[in-house]
Amino acid sequence: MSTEDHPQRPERATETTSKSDDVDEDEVAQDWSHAAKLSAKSMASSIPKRGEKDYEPDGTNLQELLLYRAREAMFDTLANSPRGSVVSNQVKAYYDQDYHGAVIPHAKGNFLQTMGNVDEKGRCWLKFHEFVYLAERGTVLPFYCNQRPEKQAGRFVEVPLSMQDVYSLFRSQAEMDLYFVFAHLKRLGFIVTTLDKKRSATASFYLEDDPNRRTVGAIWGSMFAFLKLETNSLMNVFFYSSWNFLLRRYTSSPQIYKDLKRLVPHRVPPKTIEALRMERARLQANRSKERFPIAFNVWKPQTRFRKKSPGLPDFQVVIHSKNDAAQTFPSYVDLQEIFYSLDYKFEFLSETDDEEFWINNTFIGGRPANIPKPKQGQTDECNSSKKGGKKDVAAHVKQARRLKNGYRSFLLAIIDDGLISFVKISEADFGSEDVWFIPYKRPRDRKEVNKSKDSFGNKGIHTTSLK
Amino acid sequence: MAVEPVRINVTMSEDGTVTNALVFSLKDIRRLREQGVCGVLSGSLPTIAQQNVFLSVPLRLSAEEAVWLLEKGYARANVSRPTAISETLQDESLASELSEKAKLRVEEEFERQRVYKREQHALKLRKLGIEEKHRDEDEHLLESSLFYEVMNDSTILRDGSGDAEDLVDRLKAKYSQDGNFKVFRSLRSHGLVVSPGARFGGKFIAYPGDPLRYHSHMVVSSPLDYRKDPIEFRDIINGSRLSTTVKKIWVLSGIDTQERQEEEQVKFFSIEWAGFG
Repeated sequence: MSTEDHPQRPERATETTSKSDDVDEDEVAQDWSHAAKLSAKSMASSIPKRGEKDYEPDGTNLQELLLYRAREAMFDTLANSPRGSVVSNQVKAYYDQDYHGAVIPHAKGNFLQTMGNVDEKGRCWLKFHEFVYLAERGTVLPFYCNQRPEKQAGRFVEVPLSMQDVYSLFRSQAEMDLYFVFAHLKRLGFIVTTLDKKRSATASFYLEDDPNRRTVGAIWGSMFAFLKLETNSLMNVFFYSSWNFLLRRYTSSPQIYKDLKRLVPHRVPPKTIEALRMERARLQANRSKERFPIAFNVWKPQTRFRKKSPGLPDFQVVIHSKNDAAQTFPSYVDLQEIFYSLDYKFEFLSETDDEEFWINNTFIGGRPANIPKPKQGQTDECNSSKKGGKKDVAAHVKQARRLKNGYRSFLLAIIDDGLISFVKISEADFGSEDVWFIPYKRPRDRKEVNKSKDSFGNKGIHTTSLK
Repeated sequence: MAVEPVRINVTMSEDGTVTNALVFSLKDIRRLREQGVCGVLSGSLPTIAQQNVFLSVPLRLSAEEAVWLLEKGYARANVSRPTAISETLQDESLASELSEKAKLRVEEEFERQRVYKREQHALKLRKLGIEEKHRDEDEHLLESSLFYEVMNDSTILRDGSGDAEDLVDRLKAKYSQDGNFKVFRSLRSHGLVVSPGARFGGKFIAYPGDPLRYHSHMVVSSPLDYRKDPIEFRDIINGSRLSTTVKKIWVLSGIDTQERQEEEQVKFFSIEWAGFG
């Protein structure tokens, strides 16, 4: 599983790329004086650089002074950064206990593009994490009222809530963790939604709603799985004989590797649309208590986003709270469950970010989402057009990319007492890739890769799912 | 040092589990920092809301920090339930009283802003040499530019800390094993500032002083049982190599339950990737 930080986080990028001269965000001092300047100028867009730090306290006054200044800068910024909004932009949101969210009688503002549901009476309903996020930014003003605001009877009393009040409304730590991840992604500009339980209304890559189709798919899936298992592991062991090595004469190392490869059973992850749909059938229909449900659908920042028809998300996020004694890191079975339930823009299907391809492959309630096209043939057509029209990259580079990026993937947000690390977990396929060195035969030989020493060492990591 | 203890806030959900402790008051956050408890600021900073480097209140404390503060008597817990607010405000007279109070506070604040803005306006006009005139549209603009602030601290929640007694146990039960607390305590008693360390593959990372000014030197592993647990060679290599790359030292910790004195129970070993030869 490839482990890397979130691609969009600037301050993290250094961590993975250069090892020697850099260090993580807490390593480099957070220089709050820059933040102080920024907030004075209000809307500056760049993130300030961070200052220098010392090795350890040496008891000098100079150091004391620097520390004092750093702290002052920090607390000044915090103190001079009031939450709230000016009267002309004031939007009041009322917490609703039954809904566990907030209602805005007269909603206005940019946030409506990506958040909230407006009902037929024109009221905007915010989910609780959206409510906290907007209140914390000062975009909406949090209130509590004794009754829903539409019944403007004489007894209507509204009490402003403080941030402490708002946070006290979290019903569990899990909900609070969910909020922290949500807010983190929102602050980076992503469009984030929670998964709706009523899946019929949401865009999906799969045609799963049709029950007949599902059962047929399931049967096919299980048959297919059996065959796959046989070819991959049983057969190899069956036909393997140690005599092979005595009887056969090996004239090149690839021959040896090929024979060795037969010994290592591996599972091929789904790479095509058909295989993905087949795999989907393994997803159990009734999964009320998932250990690791998908928490968020995430879209890259975009202006064309519509709440009504958002299309397939770019990423999906699962949350794991590391310090919760009741949780453990997802096991192999958990990971498989997550992989089965993924439903996003499987980026490996389409090498360029081709919109039409995704429109064609998005379904809502079993029907094509936007453009009504005959289902027949569309997938094939798209597949073939993709393979052709791409600028050429050397085969071994492509292979390295395939190995690095893998296929289906999701982001695991690991929470360590308020610090969130994003880890990308993907299915890689080392078993199908021949990574050993092959001496030149023809220039366009697919299997040519310069690194020969890694060939077997890596194999075990990703794919040996011994079944 | 008889100072007023810091107020930390915990919500207890219906099944009896508790959330992490949060601190909302800037004064309290400053005092905690001076004591070497930094926590993690995790709320959006409203003036620069599109980044994650500089964050604002609430300050989120780890379970170890909260327990340490409570045991030392540096903090008092304020335990509330998610339903506390609606229960309190069921009382209509109290609700309207709070509502009135809030309105009054807002009006006072607005008045202060009006005075200030008018002054600024007058000053500006005088600078430009324009005669002051009372115009309705100015007043209207002024009214709409008044700032309504959302407060950090609650006026609704009372300090009903009836459940605070077993809070330490509840925190321990939910968030870690006992060993982590012992290690934390021991690191604190050495004067180190401790923060969560999963990003470096450890349980904690330890700083020699305030992380604002000093680099951390140590990645501390989750404690092992000193007498029983084997040490994986691979763990040593992983930990020491990673730590050395980020200019730290890998600290292996263990709990020896056979020691009588609790302070003596925690053992530390520093491991550095020497890269020798």
